[in-house]
Amino acid sequence: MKKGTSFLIAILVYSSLILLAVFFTIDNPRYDLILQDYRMLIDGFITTILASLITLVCSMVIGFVLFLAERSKHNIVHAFAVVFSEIIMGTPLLIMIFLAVYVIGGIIFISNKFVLGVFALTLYMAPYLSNAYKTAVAVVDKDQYIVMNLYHFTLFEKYRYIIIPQMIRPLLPSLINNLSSIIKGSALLRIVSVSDISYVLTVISSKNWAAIEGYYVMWLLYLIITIPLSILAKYLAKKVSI
Amino acid sequence: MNIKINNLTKTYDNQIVLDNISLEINNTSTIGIIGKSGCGKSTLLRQLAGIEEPDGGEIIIDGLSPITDKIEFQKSIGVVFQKHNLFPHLTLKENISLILRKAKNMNKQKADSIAKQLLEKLFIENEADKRPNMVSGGQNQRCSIARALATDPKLIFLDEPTAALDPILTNEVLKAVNQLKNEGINFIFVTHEIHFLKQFADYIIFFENGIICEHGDVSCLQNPQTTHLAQFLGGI
Ligand SMILES: Nc1ncnc2c1ncn2[C@@H]1O[C@H](COP(=O)(O)OP(=O)(O)OP(=O)(O)O)[C@@H](O)[C@H]1O
Ligand SMILES: [Mg+2]
Repeated sequence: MKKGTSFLIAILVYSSLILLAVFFTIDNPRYDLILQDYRMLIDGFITTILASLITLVCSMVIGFVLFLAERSKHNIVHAFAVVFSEIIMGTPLLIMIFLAVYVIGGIIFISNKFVLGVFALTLYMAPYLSNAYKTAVAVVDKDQYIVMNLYHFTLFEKYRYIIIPQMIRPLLPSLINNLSSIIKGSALLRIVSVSDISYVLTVISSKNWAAIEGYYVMWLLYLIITIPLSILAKYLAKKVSI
Repeated sequence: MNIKINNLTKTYDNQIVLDNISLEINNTSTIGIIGKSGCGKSTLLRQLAGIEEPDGGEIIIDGLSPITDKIEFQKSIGVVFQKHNLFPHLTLKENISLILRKAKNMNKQKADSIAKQLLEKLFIENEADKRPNMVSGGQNQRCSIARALATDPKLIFLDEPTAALDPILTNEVLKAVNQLKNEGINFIFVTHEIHFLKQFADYIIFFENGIICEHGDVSCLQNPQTTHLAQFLGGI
C-alpha cells in the first residue's frame, strides 16, 4: 500500500477511536456545558501558548549559557554546569514548580504565579536545550577549529561567524520538539493556579459536574497544538538533512 | 628561507610519527616533502606551521619559532590543507573575505573585492557565490589556496595541493605557485606528483618511518643516494 494511503487509513482509524471515546464512554455527555464558557477556554489557550513561548525563549538563553559553561575549558565552570544539569534533569517538574513558587518566590519577593511558573518551566527545560545545542554544535568538525585557530579567531568570533550559523539548521527541529514538551509541561502550572488550558478546564468542568468531558476537551486542545508542531519538526528535519 | 629543526618528536597514542628529526636548510625558497602514504608528511607540516605542538624539539624558520612565537609566526604564513578545510556555510568568496576582514581589519566591501581578485587569480571567480559543497574538489582546493594568500604570507604550506586536480588544472596551479615563488613567497609543500615536485621544488626531503631518509637539492632525484628513495621513485 502507498505511504499516503496508509497514513490516511491510520489517521482515520485513530480519529474514530478518539471520537468513539469522546462520545460513547460517558453517559449523556454534556460538552455543551463546557463549550459555553468558550471565552475562558480561549483565554486559557492563550495563556498556555504565551507561557510556552516565553519559556522556550528563556530556556534557549539559559540553555545556551549552560551549554557554553559545559564546554568551558575551566574545570570549575564545567563542573558546576554539569552537576547543575544533573540535578535539574533529575527533578520532577512538579517539585520544580513548588520550589519556584513557595521557596524562590519568597526569597526574590515575586509573588506572581505566572512569572514563577514560567521560571520553573524555564529552569526545568534549560538542560534539555543545552543538550540540543550540544548535538547541533557537532556539525562543526575538528578541521574548522584548526582553521579558526590558525587565523586566531577570538572565542566571540568563532561563535559569531562559524559555530552559531552552522548550528541553526540542525537546531530548528529539536527546538520545536522542545516547545511541544514545554506545552505539555505547562499543564502542571494549574497546581499553582496559573489559568492555562488545563486549569480553566478543571474549573469549568467541576462547576458543571462534567469532569470527564473536561479532560477530553483538554486532550483534544493539546493535540491540536502539539501534532502540527511535531509535523513541522519532522518536515524541517528532513529539509535540514539535505 | 632558513629552517632549523632540532630533535623534533611527535607521538600519537604511542605511535611515533616523527622520530627525533634534525635538519638545517639555508637559502632555499621551495621545499618539497615526499614519502609513502601515512609516513607522517602532513604531521611534519602541521608541526612546522605551528598548528600542533610537538612532544619535543625545536623549530626555527627565518628567526621565528612556530612553537614559542606561534602568534607572530602564524601572521606571516598561509596553509593549504590536504582536505580543503573551507567553512561549509560560507560561499567561496565569503570564506576568503572573512579572513581578510579578520586578519587585515578590512571593511566588508574592500574584503569582498580583494577576495574576488584572489579567486580570479586562481580562475574560479565564476564560483565566487557558491558554497564548497556546490563546487568540485579542485575548485575547493584552489579556493583554499586563494584563502592562504589572503594574509599576504611570506611562507605558504601546501599539503598535496594538486591531489584533487586533473593534469590541466595541476599545470594551472603550478603556474600560479611558480609565479608566487617569483614574487618572493616561500613554500613548504607535500606532494605525490613527481612532475609537480620537479618543476617546483628547490630542495626535497624524503621521509620514511618517522625519519628523514634523504634530503638535498632537487637534483638528487636524478641520482638518489639511498635505496629507499630509489625504490620510492621507481614506484611512482
Ligand atoms: N590526529 C591524529 N591522531 C592519531 N594518529 C594520527 C593523527 N594524525 C596522524 N596520525 C597518524 O600518524 C601517521 C602519519 O599521518 P600523516 O597524516 O602525517 O601521514 P601522511 O604522510 O600525510 O599520509 P598521506 O600521504 O596519506 O596524507 C599515520 O599513521 C596516522 O594514522
Ligand atoms: Mg597527508
